[in-house]
Amino acid sequence: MSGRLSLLILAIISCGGLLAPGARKAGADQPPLDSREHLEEILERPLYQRWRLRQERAERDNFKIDEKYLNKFWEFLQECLEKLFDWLSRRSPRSGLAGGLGSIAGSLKAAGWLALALLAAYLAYLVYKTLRSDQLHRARAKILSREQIRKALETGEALALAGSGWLQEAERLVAEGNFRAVYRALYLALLSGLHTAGKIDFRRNRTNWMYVFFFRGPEGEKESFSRLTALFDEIWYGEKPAPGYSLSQLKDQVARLTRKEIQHA
Amino acid sequence: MSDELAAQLSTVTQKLGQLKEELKKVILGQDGVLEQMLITLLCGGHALLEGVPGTAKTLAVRALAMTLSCQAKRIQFTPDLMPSDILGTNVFNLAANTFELRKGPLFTDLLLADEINRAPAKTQSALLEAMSERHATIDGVRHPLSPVFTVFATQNPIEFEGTYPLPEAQQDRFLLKIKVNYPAEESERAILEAVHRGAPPDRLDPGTLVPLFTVGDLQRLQAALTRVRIEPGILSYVLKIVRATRENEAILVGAGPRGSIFLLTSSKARALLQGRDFVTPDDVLAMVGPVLGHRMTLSAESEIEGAAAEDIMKSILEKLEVPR
Repeated sequence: MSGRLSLLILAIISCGGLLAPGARKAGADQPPLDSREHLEEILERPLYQRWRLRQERAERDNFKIDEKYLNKFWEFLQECLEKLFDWLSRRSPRSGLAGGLGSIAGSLKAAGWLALALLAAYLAYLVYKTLRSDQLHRARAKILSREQIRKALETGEALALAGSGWLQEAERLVAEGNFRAVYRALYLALLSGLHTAGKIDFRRNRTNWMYVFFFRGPEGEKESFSRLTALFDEIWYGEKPAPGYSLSQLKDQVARLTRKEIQHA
Repeated sequence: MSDELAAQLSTVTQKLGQLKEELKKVILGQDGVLEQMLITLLCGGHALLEGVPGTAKTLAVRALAMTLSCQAKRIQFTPDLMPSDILGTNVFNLAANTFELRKGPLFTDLLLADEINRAPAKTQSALLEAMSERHATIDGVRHPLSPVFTVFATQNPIEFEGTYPLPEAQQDRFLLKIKVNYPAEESERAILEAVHRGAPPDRLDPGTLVPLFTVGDLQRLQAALTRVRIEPGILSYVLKIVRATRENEAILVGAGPRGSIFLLTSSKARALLQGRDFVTPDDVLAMVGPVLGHRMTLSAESEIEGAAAEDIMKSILEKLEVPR
């Protein structure tokens, strides 16, 4: 099919080449080119090259596992299962009630093995989860220098500290009288906490409203998050004075939204 | 910000909100297009609308003109259209024994240049010169155009037979390239229901829409744009985005400084339309596609691979940190 299309394209390009004004002139004044050279010249043309590359790409994209191999795999699987059942039936008595019971016992044994394998997989998953959580908390608990915290605050690297860490930083900034930065630290506490609680996925290329849009949580919490985001926008991007919210009020809101993370911390 | 300024901006955003609602009465399911058309007007730029026929492009321009109590004209571009057909020409008056200027359709507030890519380069460049200079030169004499002269040019994205595609340098003169897509199913149903009730499908009877603005109001709105603030981090973000288009391997020619300027001003206009007097990163991201999409020339490899400017832009944005 691809070969036929290739020939068709070649024919179109060569016809186009003959019909082009330049080609007509050359045909009239000069002897015709050797057909092989002419063909090579056509194959060199960007139009053909572009088509060929596109065709190759399309073929790559359309690549599918051959049904023949799929059938072979199913046959192999069937064979393995048959062998397994043969083995199970050989291990149990063949006649009468005893034979039937033996077959049930064999099946139960196989089911037991399967359950054991599943249990082992689940235990492995639990161990992995615990280790990952521990690693995360150890990373969070690492003590950053003042300079590192200041840099994280400036660059908006919310995951540099845990939510509770950012809340402490906010309190320190209050003492310094840097109220604009206080709100920034509070918002970073919110993002860090929500990320740990699994309600958002923090990524540096996302805007605050993207987090609101993709928020995973109850509608009420989403509204609170939306209000806090609008407030942060006003203060940080709008460079407006902090409105009549007290720090403790905002801290409470942040803590409520990130409850899981704060409790854990 | 002073209370007076805050009150002014509040009035502006309130009026813009009313304008959007008024336009939505006749243009259904094209909210994004309407917003981008208003941004074009607020920035004092021009827009290139790209969409298949029958997606209310012409109707949107007429509706806009009606709500702004502006004059609107339409030119259907054809291969035999001459510059004098759009600019106008001097006609000899036998009675007065003098030449009189017969002004072309260019002398208006809003101009709909339908299928701009059907006219030859000579006519296109006459229009594009008027767009950037805001005056028309006829027989060596300069004639100023309306202070709010705005061109909404359209082109069909699927039919290129017998067209003269706009060169990159000329496309760069358009502030935005607005993609007009089919309306959503619900909106299309609402359109059908409206037509069923007797609303004219593609006509706008006088009095259908309430004029809310005058040309003077529009000029004041354009002036209000300078008061929209932008945090230094966001300004750097705009710069980083535009510069990244020049360093990406998939792009042969990235956006120029005009791209940065337009991205900044259109982000400010969007903020104003959203009722804010400050820009957020969301404003910038919303304007990246319409402002920069038509200012980039893709490399031969990207074109062969069939990559779209939108996808490349998306990959650029994924690598950039949002200021926070």
